Amino acid sequence: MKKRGDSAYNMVIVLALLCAAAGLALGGTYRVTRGRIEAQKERERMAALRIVFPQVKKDGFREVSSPKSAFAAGGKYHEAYDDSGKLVGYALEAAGTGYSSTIRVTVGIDAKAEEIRGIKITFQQETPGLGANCEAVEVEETLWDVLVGKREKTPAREPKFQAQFRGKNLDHFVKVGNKYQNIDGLTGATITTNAVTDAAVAAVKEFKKRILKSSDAE
Amino acid sequence: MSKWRIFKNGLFKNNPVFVVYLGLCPTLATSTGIRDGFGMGLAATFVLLGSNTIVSAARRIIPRKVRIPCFIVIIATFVTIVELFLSAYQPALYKSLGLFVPLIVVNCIILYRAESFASKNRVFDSFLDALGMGFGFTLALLLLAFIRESLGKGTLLGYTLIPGFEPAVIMILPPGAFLTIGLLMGFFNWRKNRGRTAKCD
Amino acid sequence: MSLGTIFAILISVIFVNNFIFSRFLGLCPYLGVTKDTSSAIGMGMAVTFVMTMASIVTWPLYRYFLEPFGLERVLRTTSFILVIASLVQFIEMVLQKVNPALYKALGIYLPIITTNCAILGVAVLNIDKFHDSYLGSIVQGFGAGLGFTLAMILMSSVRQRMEMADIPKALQGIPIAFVTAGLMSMGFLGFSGLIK
Repeated sequence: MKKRGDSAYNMVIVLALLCAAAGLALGGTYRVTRGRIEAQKERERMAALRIVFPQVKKDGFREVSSPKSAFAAGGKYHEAYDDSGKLVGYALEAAGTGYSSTIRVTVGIDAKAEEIRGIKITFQQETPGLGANCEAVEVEETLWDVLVGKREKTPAREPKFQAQFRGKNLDHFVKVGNKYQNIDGLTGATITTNAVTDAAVAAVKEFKKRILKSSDAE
Repeated sequence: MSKWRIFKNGLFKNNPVFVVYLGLCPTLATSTGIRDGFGMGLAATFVLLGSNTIVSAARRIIPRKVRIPCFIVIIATFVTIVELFLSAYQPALYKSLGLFVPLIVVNCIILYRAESFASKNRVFDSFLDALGMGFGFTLALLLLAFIRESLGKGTLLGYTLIPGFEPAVIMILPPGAFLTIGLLMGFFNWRKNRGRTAKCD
Repeated sequence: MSLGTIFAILISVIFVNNFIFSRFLGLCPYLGVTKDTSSAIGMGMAVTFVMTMASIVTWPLYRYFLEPFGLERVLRTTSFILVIASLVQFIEMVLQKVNPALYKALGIYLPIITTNCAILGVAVLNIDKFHDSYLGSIVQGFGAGLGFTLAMILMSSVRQRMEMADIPKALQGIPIAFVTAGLMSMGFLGFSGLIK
């Protein structure tokens, strides 16, 4: 390293040049990747919506802004309309504190907010092998099968944990003490199981009460 | 030192994780699976390559007194580039590495090599050194991830190894990481000591 | 923010998600400085102080400067680490002038703290978990330091005892320290689920 150039002037010049170069590099990279990052986010959002309402087309979803609440974690929820313009249901953005992260769930409900059509966990950083299994898809091939070349890949399935929420009425979710009676919990991950279920149920109930102003919600 | 020696240095003899004991935080945290471990290893290697090369190229211009802030700016820039590219092209990996992607900037290995090698050597040599150190780091990660994933999840790369095998979940939890690395280090020490006593005979 | 919430944050970050035993942050000083309890306490205090100050400074930087200009993705890492490095320099200078005795006790640890992943880690975690709460961030930063100090003190007490134990040569030093950390980490697993 240069010893002579220790003057304050020199140090400032070098640092300034360095920061300018860094700024250019970062700015350039940002411009190159920004489009793709935004597209990615949009794709994930749409994918979650389509999973809970497979029969609704992309433009059948209408975004509704709402102050943050149990059912609008990102400040919005969606209305879902089928091809004939009929309101099929709603997609709520719920969130709940899990074991090691805030879990975000998209919950699809019918138009009367009485039945959960399906859920899709959109973000979680729970313990791998335990809570993270909430997103685990059962893969039937073993490593040996893959190495040997048995090519019949299992078609992409819905994670087993999330699939059990499909088409369940609200009163299916009975909680006794700390456990949901009718939910197949994740092995060794009660906290994650409860976090997801609590978040989904609370979102539906609050949605029913606040938006639909239905009288039979508690 | 020959070019080959410079590269090989970081792989085994001066492996940053098992010999110099650097970069331990990401090694333990991201070795829950081979996919994650490999991803982290590659990301850190990329940053190391970038930082070693630039630091070496600029070594005659950077004044000694401000060298650490300069190194930090250079390293942080490369880390941000990696963050942006990962979130654009490998969002699943980015999500699962989580906090540890920006933490590459404080990975002691990178600052250590910038200070002790790149600032005193030519560009190509620094590049090779970075490659060796980066690969050494990745090897350490893969070794740990191999043990933890196979014992803790019963899978490798997501595919089941032995159907019906009930994994020891503790291996993918923090205690498993600590125990595995402690025993591995002990094992490597033992081999090193054995070699030494044998030579004395 | 109620006192209860503050307490919950502290319990969560000191025990349930201890930075060393659950999150793997801050391992380098953990191994290097826990050979005796007094240096462990010194390092712990220095880290707690820097973490709290870092939380106080980085949160508004992110919320009121980076986010409004849309720069949060591009400049977060760089600005955070530079702020932390400058903060540590600044603290060192001030400490030297204001309290030379304290500087003598803690000053040697300060330069290493810059590359301590726990400091940058807590700054990033603050934004993740307490995006909307400044007080929450500061409490988490302070608590993280306390948790770190606790882990350091526990570790150094055990290591001091181990000096007199008959440990196989290959495991002496760092390896057995890690195995010990593993056992302690198992103990800390027992705290999971304490905070809903």
